[in-house]
Amino acid sequence: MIKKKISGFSLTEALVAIVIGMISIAAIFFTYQIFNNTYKSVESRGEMNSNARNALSQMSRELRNAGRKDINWVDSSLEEYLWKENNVSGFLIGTDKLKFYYDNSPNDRVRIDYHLKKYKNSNDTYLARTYMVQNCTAANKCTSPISIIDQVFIENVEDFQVVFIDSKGDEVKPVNFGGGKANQALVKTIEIYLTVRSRNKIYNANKNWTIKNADQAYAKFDQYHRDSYFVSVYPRNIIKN
Amino acid sequence: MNKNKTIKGISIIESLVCMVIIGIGFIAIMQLSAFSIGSMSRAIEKNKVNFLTEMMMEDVIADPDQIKEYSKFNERCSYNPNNGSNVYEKQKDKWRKRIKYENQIKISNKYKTPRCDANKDIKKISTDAAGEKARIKFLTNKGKSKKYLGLVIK
Repeated sequence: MIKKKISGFSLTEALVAIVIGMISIAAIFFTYQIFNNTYKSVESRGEMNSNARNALSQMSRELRNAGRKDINWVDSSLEEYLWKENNVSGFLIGTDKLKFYYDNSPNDRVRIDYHLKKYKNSNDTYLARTYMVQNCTAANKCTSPISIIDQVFIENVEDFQVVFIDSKGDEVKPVNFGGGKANQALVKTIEIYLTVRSRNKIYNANKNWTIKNADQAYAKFDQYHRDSYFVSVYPRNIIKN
Repeated sequence: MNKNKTIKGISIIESLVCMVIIGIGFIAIMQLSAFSIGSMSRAIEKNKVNFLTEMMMEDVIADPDQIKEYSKFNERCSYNPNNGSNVYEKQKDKWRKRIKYENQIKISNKYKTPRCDANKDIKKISTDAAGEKARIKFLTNKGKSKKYLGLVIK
């Protein structure tokens, strides 16, 4: 005959184990939740940063070309290379529109536009880039700009401001192809300001936001994160002109 | 033949020790996660510093004749504007405003401001005697994050 003595947990031990186990699980769960929220927030900010950096780098490169004249350019009327529209209508915020030209070859002139656009069925906005080419065969014989690319340049951009600065450090305005045509040549530095909003809501409660870029300020009350980015560009080719 | 056999389960002490070991492992994983989040956060801050230094560099390039005047830019955390009328003074005041996020972003009625250590966080431009080269030094995060940018202007 085999005598077996089986001793497992007592009731007290089991209860203590359950309580400790539950406390541990709760601690793990809340810690995970905190880390997950922080990760989402940082990831969202990282995405905004990365998008803004890529976009502003490309915009800076293109703006440095503004006003470039090809030495064999066929059209003698190349005087339009920089243009800005202030407080574009149709947006809650007084945003700007930027347009500039440069020669790509003796016959091709590139025009690039940057401006905010609304998504379909939404008041949210993105920064759009439109790349066009004008072909010229002889002096004053150029085609209308042919739209080649109309793209979403950066998602969820709320504000886009452009400031032209002259050699005295003062703002130049207006700069356009009409009354402000002569002012194009005064521009020595171009400042670009962007405010980007996170793709997803990352705060648990609504927050009051006031953002000011250049001369424009606006307010928002929601759960999104925002950040502003800026660059200065020295338009080398305009100065040479 | 009689055999006395005692079959024991896990004692409470053993299970507690086991949980402590698992807890240590969990804390280690959390620390790893915290470090990676911190790294991403630092990368974002460095990106901001890149924007600031590139703005300074471009402004200096745009004003090559006054390059020596920019060498007087030496800031810690006070960022007091000079309110000068020259272009270099206006540009330097603009940098100061941008570096300290002056009136830029207000969240829940509080302006966002960067952390700054007055002893270690230096933002400085130095130039050579001929006024042809410039160097931007930008230290943040108690001097640990260092950004240097060299320029040949002329």
